[in-house]
Amino acid sequence: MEKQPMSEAMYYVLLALMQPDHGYGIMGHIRELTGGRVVMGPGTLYGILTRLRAEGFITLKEESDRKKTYEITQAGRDALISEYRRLKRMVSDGDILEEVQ
Amino acid sequence: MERRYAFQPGDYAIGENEKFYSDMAERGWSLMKRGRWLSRFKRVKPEKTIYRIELASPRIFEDKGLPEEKLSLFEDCGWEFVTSYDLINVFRAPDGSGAPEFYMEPEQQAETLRGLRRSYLSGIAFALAIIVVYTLIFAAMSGGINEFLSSFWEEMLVAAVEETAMLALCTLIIAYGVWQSLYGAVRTAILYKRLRRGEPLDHSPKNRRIGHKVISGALLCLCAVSAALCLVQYIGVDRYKLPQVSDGPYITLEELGWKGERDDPFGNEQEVRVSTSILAEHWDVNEYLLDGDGGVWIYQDIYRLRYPGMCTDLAQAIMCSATFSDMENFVPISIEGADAAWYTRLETVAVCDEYVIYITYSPGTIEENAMEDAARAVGAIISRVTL
Repeated sequence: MEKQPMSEAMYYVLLALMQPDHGYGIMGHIRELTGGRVVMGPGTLYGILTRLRAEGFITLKEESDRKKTYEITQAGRDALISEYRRLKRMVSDGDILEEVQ
Repeated sequence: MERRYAFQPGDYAIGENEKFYSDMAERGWSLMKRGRWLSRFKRVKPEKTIYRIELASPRIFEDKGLPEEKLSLFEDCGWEFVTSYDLINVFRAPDGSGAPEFYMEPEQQAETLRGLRRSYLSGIAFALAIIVVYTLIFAAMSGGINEFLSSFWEEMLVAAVEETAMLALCTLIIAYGVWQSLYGAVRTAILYKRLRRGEPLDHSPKNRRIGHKVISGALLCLCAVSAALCLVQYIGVDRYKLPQVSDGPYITLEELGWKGERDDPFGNEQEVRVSTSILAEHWDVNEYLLDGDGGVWIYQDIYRLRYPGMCTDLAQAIMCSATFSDMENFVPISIEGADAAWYTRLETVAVCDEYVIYITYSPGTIEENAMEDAARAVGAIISRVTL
């Protein structure tokens, strides 16, 4: 079966976790990275962190008080790079649109 | 500190709950605690506050609270955790604080409804399972489903005559619970589908759901009226020691010609219990007499119905649920003054005008004379009620 494309939210969370970070830090990082275009809610982020952890794309780096710091795993890096390449190819395939415009 | 309580919308009404708490805050009432039916508020300066609800979605036997990490994440984003009850967790933030909405996409929020949906469905499934188990157990004891259902309705009719308000109250409470569970399950399913389709949650719904409020309000009002009638009936019950000479539409053993000392071998009080329900007046009399070598006893249930048209149905129901015999063992007999009468060993049922008479009589005589003795006892009661 073909792999499902990654959601936008998952893509950005993995991207943000190229540097280990905790939940609120991830949200800030994504906002900064997208120039405020993507404002991730805490419900969405918690759901994605839980799912990515279950799929082995991220792992718990450290835990203090009520905060957990996550980092991306090798499987997560591979999935992210694979998605990046897919998106890049899709954009390049769409070059024809430049001529239409 | 000034406090007040207010009924909150049901758990299924996420947007309505958020609007309810925001409106209260704007009127100067800040949420303190959410309960099963009521929320507690304290008086504060009126201010615009945004309330949001996050549903917990635990697995079976898992703690219903939100995980600490999730709470911390919400608080870091500017949301203050206020209170929780069952699966509902309430957060708030001052209006314009910039605290982000919980979910980017409605589909993500749809997943949080799974626990709530499961909770409504498991409630309904549990109720159905109890009904099925109850039916199977009693069907096995009654000799079949048809026999059980038949005896069930007969028992219900007797209960309706004796304890009309109590039966109505129990029925209405069950109806209210079933109505709320079904309505909650349907509303949750509709909301889930809408979110899955990508329609965002309406945080400030305008629809007032008048139909649901009217039905729920009517059921609650009827519950309150039934409860009040139950109380009136309970207070109005008159119990007193059985007098030597009857003071009501019943008969004493002495009046039937028996002599001896009253003594119940089971230690029961020999008393008269008179109760009045919406449908009937009911005299319940127990008497046991030591006479010579043996004992003589009589149990009398005498009903005076407000609607005489119900008499035959009640008599049939009494025979169906008789203590010592089955319905098919009763045979019609003729008793002077009775519109109809039926007899089986120990038990006799008769209808006379608006009265239904049910006696369980052990005169201690030989079998052949037992029917005549029972007919004589019922005839004596009929003479009293037709006086």
